[in-house]
Amino acid sequence: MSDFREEDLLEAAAGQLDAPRLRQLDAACARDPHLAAERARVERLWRSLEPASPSRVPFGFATRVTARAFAERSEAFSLRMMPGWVRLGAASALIAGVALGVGAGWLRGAAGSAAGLEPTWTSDSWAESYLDELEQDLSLPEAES
Amino acid sequence: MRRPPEPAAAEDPDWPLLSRAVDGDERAFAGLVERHQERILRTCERLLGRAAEAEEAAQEVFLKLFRRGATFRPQGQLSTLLYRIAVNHCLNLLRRRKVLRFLRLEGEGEETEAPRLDPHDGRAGPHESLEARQRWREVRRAIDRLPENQRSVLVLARFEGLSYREIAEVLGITLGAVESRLVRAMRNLEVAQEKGGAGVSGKGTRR
Repeated sequence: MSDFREEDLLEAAAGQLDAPRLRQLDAACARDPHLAAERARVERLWRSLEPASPSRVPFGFATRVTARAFAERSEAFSLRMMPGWVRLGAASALIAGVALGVGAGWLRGAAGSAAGLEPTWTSDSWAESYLDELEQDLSLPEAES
Repeated sequence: MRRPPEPAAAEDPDWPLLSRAVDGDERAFAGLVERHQERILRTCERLLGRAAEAEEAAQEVFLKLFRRGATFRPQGQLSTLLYRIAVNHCLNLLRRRKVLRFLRLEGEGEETEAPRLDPHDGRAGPHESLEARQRWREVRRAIDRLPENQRSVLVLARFEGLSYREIAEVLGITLGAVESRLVRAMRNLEVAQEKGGAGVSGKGTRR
């Protein structure tokens, strides 16, 4: 038996076997009818998978894809795509805002404790404490009997 | 910043087109799509077996190229990269489809759809054409049943005419793996054709 494997026969059928090896295969097939039959079988099988004819590309395919790609890009326009100075300004404003909020909260808290103010809500229930507050603040006069 | 293209990539006109597209040139991107749309559509269709799904998949392949265009290193042919994206995308869709089929308990036959990109021969008469179409449908069904790794190699080798080396590059496998997968694919097709009585396979004995 020759040194040709099924892989080589398939490579020959696919037109991918190099010229010297193809010549060797031709010569081997001329000597060995079994190899020749095997080669014919592989070639027949390969040919049975007809290659595609020129495909029909859907009308306007490229235009649609391009429009979609650029539409996506404009939608995805974000802070990341802005110039550096804009991003820096936005980041600074965010940090300043957070610092201001924290600072103000801290100052107010400190001033509150200095004045001895305590939270007036002692109840576990927000609703109850709200009603208590209402009663105290409105201090409705009791109906005279 | 984009890296300078490698020597092989420098000869490929597609890389500058992609670069211009990434920079906002719509015409360059449209040109790139036009250059490759046929082969990418065909590959998607051969891999997925459904025309409608193939068009959507092909669109997604080009969109992926566009979205990540700035990150790709110009290396080799852009078409190889496109094939790689197409194959990966289609294999992902097939895996998703398999899961859905499992969940819905669908049969395989329920999904078969006649491909739009049927091979046709204008010279053939109506009977021959019908016969060819019938034969192709059987081949198509057999291809659909191949394992994913064999199907991708077969599609790229037989329908796209890629060399073994190019296929190895696209799929990220060795030349030996390409050869063996192709041989296994062909054996499976032969068995399927014999079972289905398609009459297109060889009848010789296999070693």
